[in-house]
Amino acid sequence: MKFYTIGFALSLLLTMAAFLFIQIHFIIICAILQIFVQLFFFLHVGRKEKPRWNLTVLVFACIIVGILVGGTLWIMGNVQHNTMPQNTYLND
Amino acid sequence: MKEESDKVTFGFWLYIMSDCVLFAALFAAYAVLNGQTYGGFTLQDIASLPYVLVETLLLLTSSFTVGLALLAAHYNKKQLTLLALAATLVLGLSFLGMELSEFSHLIAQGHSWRQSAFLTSFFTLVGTHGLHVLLGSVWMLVLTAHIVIRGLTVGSIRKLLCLSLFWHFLDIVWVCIFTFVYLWSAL
Repeated sequence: MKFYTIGFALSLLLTMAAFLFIQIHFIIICAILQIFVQLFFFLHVGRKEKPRWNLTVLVFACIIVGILVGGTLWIMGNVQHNTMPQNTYLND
Repeated sequence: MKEESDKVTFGFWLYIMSDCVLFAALFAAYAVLNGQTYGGFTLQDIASLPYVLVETLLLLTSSFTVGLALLAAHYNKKQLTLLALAATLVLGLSFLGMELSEFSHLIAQGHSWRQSAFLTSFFTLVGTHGLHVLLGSVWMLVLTAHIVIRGLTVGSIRKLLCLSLFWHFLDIVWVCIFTFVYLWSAL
């Protein structure tokens, strides 16, 4: 009970903070902190006895997510860079 | 029995991680198409942040109450479990209602997914999350009936554990959505 309440309070705090101070670095830090808070307090990651298969799979998934998102942005950024700018919108 | 439960939970955890990869693909598509508004409106013009804040608080509170339901089930308190589950369901459905009303509002104003690549990716990303919340709500309804009829058996507690994992995961995805979709547009 206490554990969930702490997690809930921290999440609320981080959410409100992100909505009050909308600055690029600040909201990213808030999001990352909130993900860790919820993983630890709600999903109980890292609080189980060994061997920690859940954690292993989570780390693997994070690597895949990193490759997927990072790779996409990298490649598509380059594609956009190499494309001629088009300013003719077909607005009707 | 304990080992069996652990296996089921781990299998479900694997499913959640694969779902995570699905959402990552949608986020990547959204990030790429963010600027492709086809001369139309950006999210900043059409989204209301206070509205999103209320949605966020609803989902966050429902994540808390589903945790309480699991806790009550571990202490074998049936009434309390059902009460917490009902609260979660109400909060989840209110979130869904708010999201649907936001969508229908956007479409009524002519900002549907057919407008631009950006809006397509926006509706796909946020809509997929909404679909997960809907499926989670249906699951919760079935589980509530299960607990009412059969009581808090080992099986129903295991199902509740899987559901709570799923629900917390949806909350984490929503954290990413409100940060990288809604707040990002207000930068």
